[in-house]
Amino acid sequence: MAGELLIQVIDMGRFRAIRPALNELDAARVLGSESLSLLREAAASPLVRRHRPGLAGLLRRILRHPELELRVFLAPTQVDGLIEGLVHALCFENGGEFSLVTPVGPSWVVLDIELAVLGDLDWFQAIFLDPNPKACRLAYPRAGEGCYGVLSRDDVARVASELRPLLDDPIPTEITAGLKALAEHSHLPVLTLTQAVRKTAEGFARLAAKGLSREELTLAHTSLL
Amino acid sequence: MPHNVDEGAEETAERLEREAHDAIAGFSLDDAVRLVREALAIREASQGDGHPDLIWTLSLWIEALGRKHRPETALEAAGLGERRLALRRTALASAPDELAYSLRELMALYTFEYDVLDTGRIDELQRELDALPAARHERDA
Repeated sequence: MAGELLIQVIDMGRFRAIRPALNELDAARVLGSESLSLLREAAASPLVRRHRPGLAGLLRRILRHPELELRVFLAPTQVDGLIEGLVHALCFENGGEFSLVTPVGPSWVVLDIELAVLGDLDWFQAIFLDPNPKACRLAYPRAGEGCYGVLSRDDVARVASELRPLLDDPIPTEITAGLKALAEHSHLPVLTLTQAVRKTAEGFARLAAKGLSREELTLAHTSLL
Repeated sequence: MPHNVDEGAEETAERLEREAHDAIAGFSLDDAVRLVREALAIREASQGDGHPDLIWTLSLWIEALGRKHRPETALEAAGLGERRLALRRTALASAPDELAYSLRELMALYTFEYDVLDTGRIDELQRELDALPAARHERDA
């Protein structure tokens, strides 16, 4: 599997709060007291201790030697992994958990074959397939495959509004046409594809509603390469 | 640690390292190697070849070579790893537990897929690792 689009809920208020610490980590020098406090908080969180052993190990090593520059004993990929792990653990709902096996979860949606249908819609293209993604890119994780795009609140409201017709019967004509074309191409029954798109749209709409439920929340998306 | 530091040169090296870091992430590995080679030359000239800042530059170079995933680049990376370890021995003098991680990293650099590139050197590193109090403590825990 490759090329899926993962959409999750992120707390941008929290992200802004930890941004100075992320900048310090990215510089990979000696950390200040506030950054060290953040790392202690992350190390103490049950989510990190139980579900992110790699991150927990890195945090232990750094906290054991706060006097050392990170760049002296950690490799660049480890620093990148640390930053990515902290952003997921501290800013994403449910610690950034998602699953390819369960594409619609409580805090995520993975668009796979549904992308072929939704990707033809103007609003979806404008929001998720922007050819200039740097304009709305999350500052961290900075490197490689883990980069995220972030939606403005207006975009989240538009997603919620544009998804509404997909939840009603009958499904809009433009979607039905897309489903028929996809059925021919993929040799899957239209009904199967319709159910997949409907289920995804329901999960996606729940995420959008969650994203709109608090000022600091929004949706973040990344391509799974 | 007294060093005759040229601030302008350091900033240039930092910028080149950042560009190399991005190039590695984007799999532009030849560009990354070129950038990091330049950064290392600048740091050596301005900070001296024993400065701990060279460790990060070498780490970037090692990562770029590692991602090329070829036996000859693996051996080159191990050579750079030797130099990094020498610098880390000084920088991590107060942190033997971290020196143990560094020894293990170098042992990993001498392994390409299932082939050991230098058995003798790996044995030496293993003996040193076994003798470290931090490693003994970890093993006994």
